[in-house]
Amino acid sequence: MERVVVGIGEWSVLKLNGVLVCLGLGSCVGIALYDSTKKIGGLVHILLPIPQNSDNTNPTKFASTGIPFLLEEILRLGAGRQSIVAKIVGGSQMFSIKGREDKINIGARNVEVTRDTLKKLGIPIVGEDVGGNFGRTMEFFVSNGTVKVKAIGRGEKEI
Amino acid sequence: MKLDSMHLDVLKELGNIGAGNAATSLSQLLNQRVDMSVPDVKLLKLRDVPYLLGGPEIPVIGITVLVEGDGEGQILLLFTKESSEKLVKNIVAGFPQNEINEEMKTSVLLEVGNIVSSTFLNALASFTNMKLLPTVPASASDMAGALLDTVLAIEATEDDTIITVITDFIVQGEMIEGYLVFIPNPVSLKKIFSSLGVNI
Repeated sequence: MERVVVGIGEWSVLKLNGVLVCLGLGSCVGIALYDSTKKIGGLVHILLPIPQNSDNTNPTKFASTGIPFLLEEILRLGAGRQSIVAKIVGGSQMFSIKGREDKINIGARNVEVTRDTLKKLGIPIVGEDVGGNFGRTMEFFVSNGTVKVKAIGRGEKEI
Repeated sequence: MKLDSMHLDVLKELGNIGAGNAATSLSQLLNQRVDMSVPDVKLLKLRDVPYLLGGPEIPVIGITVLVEGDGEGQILLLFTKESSEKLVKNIVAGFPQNEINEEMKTSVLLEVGNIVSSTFLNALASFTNMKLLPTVPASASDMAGALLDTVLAIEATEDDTIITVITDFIVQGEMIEGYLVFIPNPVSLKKIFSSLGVNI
């Protein structure tokens, strides 16, 4: 079975089977888009909420631009616009430093912008494991849309 | 920002001065010889940063401080779980066993982070004539990738690459191994170079 690791700022799509993986998500968010009728899935691994500098060349580093980008890619592969659902994982706050919360807590902002962007696109979130203060690995199985989440000392769960 | 090998050499020298100071401070704290490697300065693609220490899922203890003042950035000290236990054990050796709890272990590690990063920064500050101050330290025990992606996000780089200065250090006789990762904010990096009269 094909297993594709999607690194920071990267994306990938698969059809019918295979696994799309984000390893060790901290404040980053992995967003899986899926059409279960066609078994077409895509995963994007975003680092930041919104680009501040408009000439940035990599849209998939940001939630606000990465999600629409991934949507286009799975539509191109044949996904039906109305069948697409989302699962989101990550967005933790790994460190806490008093008085620097705004600077440090990018995880929460990543999740917030991820939700807003999906809402604007009319894509429902059907599963999530976000926030907290621990890292996560996510595995997205394109054959059935299952997402497995692993965290140190917390075992494994399915969303 | 276009960096060439000369810029990387300048950073290597800076890192070397910082690491030398940090090794001395750690050595005084432990009363043991500490060896630090010549720093490895790399311009990395963001996707490669979580792989710095053998893979994104490796469990580590990380202690971080934000750098503030005339320049910004972040310092992250990383230890394997085993090394962090040995480090703490070594430092608290004189304390009664029943007084050593998890909270105390964490504060010992935070203090190590504090001392090592402050001395690293002091050396950089006096060399560049910039005011560089560490915040109070914070620690986390988790996957290396989760700690490193957070550091990247905090530096909020819009570039697709980032400069990392990495030193590994070994406490002789104790097999304690750790890493010091310094990630200067890209904007601050320009200030550092200009303070040294290096064009960028």
